[in-house]
Amino acid sequence: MKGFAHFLAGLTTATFVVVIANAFYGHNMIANAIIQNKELIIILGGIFGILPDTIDFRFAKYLQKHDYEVDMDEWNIDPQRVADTLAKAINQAHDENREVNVMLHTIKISSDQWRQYNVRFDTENNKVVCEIGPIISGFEKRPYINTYLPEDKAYAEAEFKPKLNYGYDAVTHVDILSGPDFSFFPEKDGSVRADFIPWHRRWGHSITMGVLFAPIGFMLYGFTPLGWTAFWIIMLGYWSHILTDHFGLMGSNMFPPFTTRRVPGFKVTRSMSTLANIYTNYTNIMLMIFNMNAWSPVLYFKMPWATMLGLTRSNFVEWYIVSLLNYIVYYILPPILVSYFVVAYIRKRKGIEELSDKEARTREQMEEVSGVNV
Amino acid sequence: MMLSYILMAILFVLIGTLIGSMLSMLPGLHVYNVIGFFLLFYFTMGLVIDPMLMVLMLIGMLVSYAFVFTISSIYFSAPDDSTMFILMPTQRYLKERKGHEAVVLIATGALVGVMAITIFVPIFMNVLGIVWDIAMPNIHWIIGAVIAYMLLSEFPKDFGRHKNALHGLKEAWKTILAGYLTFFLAGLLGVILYSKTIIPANHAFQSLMAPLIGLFATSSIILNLISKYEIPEQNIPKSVDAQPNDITHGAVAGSLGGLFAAFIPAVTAGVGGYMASHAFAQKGDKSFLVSMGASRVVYYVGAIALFFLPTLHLRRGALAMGINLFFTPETVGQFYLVDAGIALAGIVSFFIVLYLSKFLARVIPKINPKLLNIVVLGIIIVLVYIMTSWQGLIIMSVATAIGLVPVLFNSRRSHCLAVILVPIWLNMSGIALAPYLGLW
Repeated sequence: MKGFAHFLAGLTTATFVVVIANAFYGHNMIANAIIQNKELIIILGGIFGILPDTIDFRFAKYLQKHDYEVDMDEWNIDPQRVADTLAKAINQAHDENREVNVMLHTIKISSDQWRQYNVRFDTENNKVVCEIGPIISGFEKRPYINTYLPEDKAYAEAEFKPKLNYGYDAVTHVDILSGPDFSFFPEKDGSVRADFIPWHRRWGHSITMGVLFAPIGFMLYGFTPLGWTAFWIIMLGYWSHILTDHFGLMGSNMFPPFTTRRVPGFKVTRSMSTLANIYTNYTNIMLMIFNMNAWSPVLYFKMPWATMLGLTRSNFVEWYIVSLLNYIVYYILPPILVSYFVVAYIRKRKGIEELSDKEARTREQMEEVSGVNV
Repeated sequence: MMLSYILMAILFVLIGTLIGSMLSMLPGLHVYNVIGFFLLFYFTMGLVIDPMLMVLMLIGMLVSYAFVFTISSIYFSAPDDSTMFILMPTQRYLKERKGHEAVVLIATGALVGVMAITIFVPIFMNVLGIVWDIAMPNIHWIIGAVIAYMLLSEFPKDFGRHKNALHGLKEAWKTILAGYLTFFLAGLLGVILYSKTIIPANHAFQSLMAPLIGLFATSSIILNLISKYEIPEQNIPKSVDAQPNDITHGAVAGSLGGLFAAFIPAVTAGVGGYMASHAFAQKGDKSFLVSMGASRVVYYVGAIALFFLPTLHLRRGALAMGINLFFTPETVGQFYLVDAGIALAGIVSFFIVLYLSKFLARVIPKINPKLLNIVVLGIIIVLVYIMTSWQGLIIMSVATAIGLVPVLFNSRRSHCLAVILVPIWLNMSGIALAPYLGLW
C-alpha cells in the first residue's frame, strides 16, 4: 500500500485500541483524556503505521552492501557490461554459496530525463539480456522516439550456469530516480533465487520490530492506563502495516532474526493498485468516524440493528459489535462492492486482462523501487 | 424570489468574477487581500447594497481567483500556498512548450471541482453536519496527524550512488533534515506572528500576506532569477491529450482533498490535494494537475458553501469570516442562491482562464524571463509594502529566506505551511509556546 494507506491504517488501529481500552478501564477514561485533556496518543498509531517504510527507505536502503554496481552514463553506454555483471553475480552466488548483490544505476541525462534500459532473465536458455531503450521524460516516462540506439549498440547477452528461480515478469525496466538492486541467493537444490530490492520488507517489516517499539508507550506515559494504551497502539499500529502489505504479493520477513526470508503475500492485490488503496483508505476513514462517534459523549448517529435489539451503550461490548457490523453492512461494503463490480465490468468490456502472477509481482516490486510507494 | 432580484444577483456574480479575474493576474496578490479592502470600503462608505448581493459579488471574486491564479502561478512562476504543489509539473510542461495544456488540465479540474461543490454539498448536507460534530472534539489530533504525515512521508530523493553506507545516509538525510529545518523555522515564524502583531494594527487583517508571499512566491522568483530560466515558444493545441480516466481520477481525488482542507482548520488546499493524491494512488502529471485544480477550487469555494450550509454554518477561510461581519446566513434559499452563484462564476471563470492562457502563451515567450521576474518581484514588493507597511517587508524577507531552504536542498516546499499549521495546531491542543519565547 501507499504510505498514506499505512498511516491511516495505523490511526484506525489506534481508534480501535482506544475503544477497547475505554471498555477495559471504564468511565470513558482514555477517550476523555483525548477529548478533554487534548492527548495526542492516537497519532502514535499513524506514526508507527508508516514507520516500517520509513525504516526501509531512510535507513535500510543505505545499509545494503553491493558486490557489484553498474553505473553508466549517456557517453559510456555498454549493455554488455550489464549482462556480464548479472551473469557473473548469478554464477558467483552458486559457486561461492553466498548471497551476491548487484546494483543497476539509472542513466540520468538531465533533471527530468533518463535513458531507459531493460534487463531480461531468460531462464530457459540461462541467459541475461540487456537492451538499451530510448531517452524518456518525466515520471510519465514519455519516450523521445528519435533517441533509440542502433541494435548493435543496444543489445547484449551473457550466459550463466546454474538454474535461476526468477519469480517475476521477464523484463525489468531501469529508468527513473534510483535503479533496482538484485540479490542472488544460493538454494539447497543447487539453483539460484533472484530477488528485487533485498533491503525492503526484511527486518523493518516484521512482527518482531513492532514488539521492540511497543515499550516506547511506557516511556511516554509511564505504566499508567495511557501508557498501556500507547503500548498497544504502537505495537498494533506497526503490525497494521505488515498486515496491509501482506495483502500484496511481495510479503514480508515476519520474525527476524529467527526467519531470514520474506513470506509471500496473500496475493489479493498489488500495493500500488488504485482501487486497493482507495478501498483501504475509505474503510479506514469510515471506521475512524464510527469509533470517534462510539466514544463521543453524545452519539451523533445510531445504528438501527442495535436499537432493534434494545442495545444501548450501557451494554457497551454487545452494542458496539452489533452497531459496527450494521455500519459495515450499510455504509462500508455497498460502495466498495458496487464500484468494484462497475470497474470489473468496464475492464471486461474494454478487454483489459488481469496481470499474471509474475507480471503483478514484478509490477509491485518495480513500484517499490525508489520509494514511489511512499 | 423576484426575477429582477435574480437578474441583479447574476449581474453581481459576473461583476465579482470580472474584478477577481483581473486582480488575480497580478502575481502574489491573494484574493483575500483584495476582499479585505472591499469590505473596508463597504463598511466605511456605508454603501446601500443589499448584503446578499455583496456576498455574491465577493463569491464571484473568490471563484475567479481560484481559477485565474493558475495563470500567474504557471506563466509568472509566482505560486501561493495551494499552487506551489503544481509548480514542478507545470514548469516541466512550460519547458516542453505545453504551458497552455497545463492550464487547461488545471482549469478542467477546477470546473469539475465547482460542479462537485454545487451538486454534492447540498446532497450530503446532513452527512457533513454529522461528520463535523463528530470530528470537532478530535480536531487537535487530526491536525497533529496531518503534520506527522507531512514530516514522515518525505523520503530521500537520491539516485542511489554512494561511496559507502555513511555517505548514503548523509546524502539521504540532507534533504530530509532541510525539510525538517524548514518546518521548524516556518512553524516558529507562525507562532511569533500569531502571538504578536508585528505589522501595524490597521493592516492586521493582512497578517498572513507577507509570510505566505515570502515562503512561496518570492523564493520561487529568486530561484528563477539565479537559475537559467527560459520560456520557450508555447504550443496552443486545439485539444488536450488526456484520458477520461486521468480526469475522473484527478477530479475525484482533488475534490475530496479540497473538501478535507475546507473542513479541517489549518489544512490548506495544497496539503489536502497532496494527501488525496496519495490516498488515491495517483500516477502521472495529468491526473495530478487536474486534482490540484479541483482541490484548490473546492478548498476556497467549498469553505463558502460550508459557511452557507444550513446544517453547518462553518466559518472557514478569510472570506467566510469577512462575510460574517455583515451577514449571517439563515435560510436554505440563501444557500441555493450561493450555490447557483458559485456554478455561474465557475463556468465564466473557466472560459476566462482559457482565453487568458491562450493570450499569455503567445505573449510570454517574447518577454525576457529575467525582466519578467524582476517586474513580478517589484509588483509583489510594492503590494506587500502598501498592504502591510515596512514591517511586512521585513517579515516577507525572513519568510523568503526560509522558503529558499527547501528550494535549494530539494526538499518538499509543503513544509513551509508549518507557518499556519503549527500555531493553529498548538492552539487547538491547548499548548501556548509564546510565554517560553518571551512573546507574552
